[in-house]
Amino acid sequence: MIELKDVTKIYDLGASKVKALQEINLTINKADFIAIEGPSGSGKSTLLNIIGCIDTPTEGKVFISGVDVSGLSDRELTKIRLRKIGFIFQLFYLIPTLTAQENIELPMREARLPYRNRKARSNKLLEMVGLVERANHYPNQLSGGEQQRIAIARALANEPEIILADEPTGEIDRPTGNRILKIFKNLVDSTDITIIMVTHDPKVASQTKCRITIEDGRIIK
Amino acid sequence: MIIQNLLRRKGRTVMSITAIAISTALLVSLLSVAEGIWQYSSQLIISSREDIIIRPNLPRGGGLQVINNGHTLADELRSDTVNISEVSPVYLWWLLITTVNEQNMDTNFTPDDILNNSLNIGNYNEVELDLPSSGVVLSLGVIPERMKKFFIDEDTYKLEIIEFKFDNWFETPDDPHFKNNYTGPWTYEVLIDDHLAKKYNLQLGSKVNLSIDTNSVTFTVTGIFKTNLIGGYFEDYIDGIVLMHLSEMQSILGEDLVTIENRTIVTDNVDTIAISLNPNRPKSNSAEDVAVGIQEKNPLLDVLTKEEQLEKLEEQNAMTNIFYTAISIVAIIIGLLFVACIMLISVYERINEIGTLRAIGIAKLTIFRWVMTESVLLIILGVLVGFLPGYFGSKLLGEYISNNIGIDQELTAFSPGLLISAFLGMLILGTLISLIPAIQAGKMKVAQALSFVR
Repeated sequence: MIELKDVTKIYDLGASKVKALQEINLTINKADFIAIEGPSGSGKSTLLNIIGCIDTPTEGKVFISGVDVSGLSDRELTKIRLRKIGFIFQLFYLIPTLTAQENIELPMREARLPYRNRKARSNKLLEMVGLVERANHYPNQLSGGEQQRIAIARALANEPEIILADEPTGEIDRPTGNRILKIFKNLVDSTDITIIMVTHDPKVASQTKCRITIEDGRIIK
Repeated sequence: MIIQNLLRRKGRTVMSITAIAISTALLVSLLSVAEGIWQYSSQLIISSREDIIIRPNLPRGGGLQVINNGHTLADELRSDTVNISEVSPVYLWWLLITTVNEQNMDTNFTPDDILNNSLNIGNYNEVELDLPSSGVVLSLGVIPERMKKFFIDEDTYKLEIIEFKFDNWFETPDDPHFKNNYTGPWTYEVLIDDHLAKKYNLQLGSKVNLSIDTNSVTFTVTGIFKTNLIGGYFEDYIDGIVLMHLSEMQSILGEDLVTIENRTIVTDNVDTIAISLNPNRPKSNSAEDVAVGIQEKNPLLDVLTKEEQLEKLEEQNAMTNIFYTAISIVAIIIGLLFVACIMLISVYERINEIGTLRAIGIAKLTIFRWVMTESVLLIILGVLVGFLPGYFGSKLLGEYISNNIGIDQELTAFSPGLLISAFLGMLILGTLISLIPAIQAGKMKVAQALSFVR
């Protein structure tokens, strides 16, 4: 359902150009649980950004559910991110002025989901991540692990097809990180959702179904 | 989320609201006073009985000789009984006033004597007397019976910003000294204002000397009137106001006759002629038509109808308004720029947050709208908060100006219309300036925003 064909990303820094990705060819299917590994600066986050329609390739094409997204406008890419993709970040990036439940409902509001449906769905997601009692707490009142679980719930708000997680366990302790990974596995097993996770931790990567190693902008394995 | 964002940085929010409040208060105060001055000034013109005013259109001094035979011109105008119901010539100038006490009543002393502070009385040695009170007065020379026709009610007369309220009037209503080329008897009557009466302890029947250069004449106070002057400019420069018969004032000033090649000619100089039009004149003879007719015969004069006076006032007021508005606009721009800066800082601080929002599918336009709304809300709150100090500011400023001029009159016009105009003006400008941070937030590239490190 995700296909990259000869995708290249070059950053023009004025005096020099940096090739972050070079002729990437990749196919990811439904319900895949994939880890993208590589050293720092290898292009992992860039690859994730391109798959996630946050960034566009300099060359090549990206297909999501059969649609070529490489030439789409910013508006159309935003719609795809809203409906089809969920993001989980290393630093959680919850909105500090919103409660846990409001953070989860944010994408639903943007998608014009009616109030009742929003409430019902956010309650269900809170239950799924085990934080019903924290619904009205603000991010600064939650631990790192709790924040990441809320972030997962937010990523699932509009029932996306793809979850992109950039170092989701990077800022939390191992037991909590394992708990996060368990949630991912449950999601993959119980739904058709595809999870692509960037990590530099081999132990975390080993818990996925498939591992991709990227180095100097190229997939080496 | 917008309210929460404003509450997140309370200090910054309060400062932004305060900046806008100060700008708004200044705007409202200045416009209120400008409008108040306009209303007061225009009302003076509208409520007066003078339908047409004639003045020389040269500066004072050179202009006095322009209206030759002013009295005669007044009579000439008066002879037009179709269009004109009454004509009142007025002479306005400064005179030196000196009170007269028993010791100096029969002596002809001059202002120099007062300055020298001594007087030689008969066989006595020069002695120092108690200084009689002396000062400078604004003197109006009028023909009483004619001036009275221009009263706006039984006892009230208005001359520009001065309002006169009379208790007593002249005993001789006409101008006997004028008769036979200024050879008729003097009335020696004078009316004085209550400030002067109080200052120099004068009452009805008191004697005063009015003089200029070496011409000095003793008058009797036959009336004391009230004015709306309370101080300020008038208190600093004049001790009071007096009214006297026109020809007697002209004689003191030497504006009555002139001798050229052994011939004595009546000059009869005045500096204003007020005309009240006949309300029963033909409808085709508008005030403007009458004024044009007078102007054509007297090209060196300034002949103004009420409408023309209002137009002139409007032109003068326009300059004041432009000045006040310019100051207000500068203050507003500074206040709004402050808010724009605060919002730009806020956007900068929230770059990661904005990147996250964009990543999870929040549209550029939504973020633009949020930032815009936050900024405009700050401005609206500031404007609303600013109205109250604006009200008090306008009262203070109006009082300061009226005290400075020296009139007892409120010079502010704080109306709902003014508030609405101020609000809409600030809202429009505020919305425009809010575009700066809103566009900045909206156009951020997602990947860069997410990876931004402060």
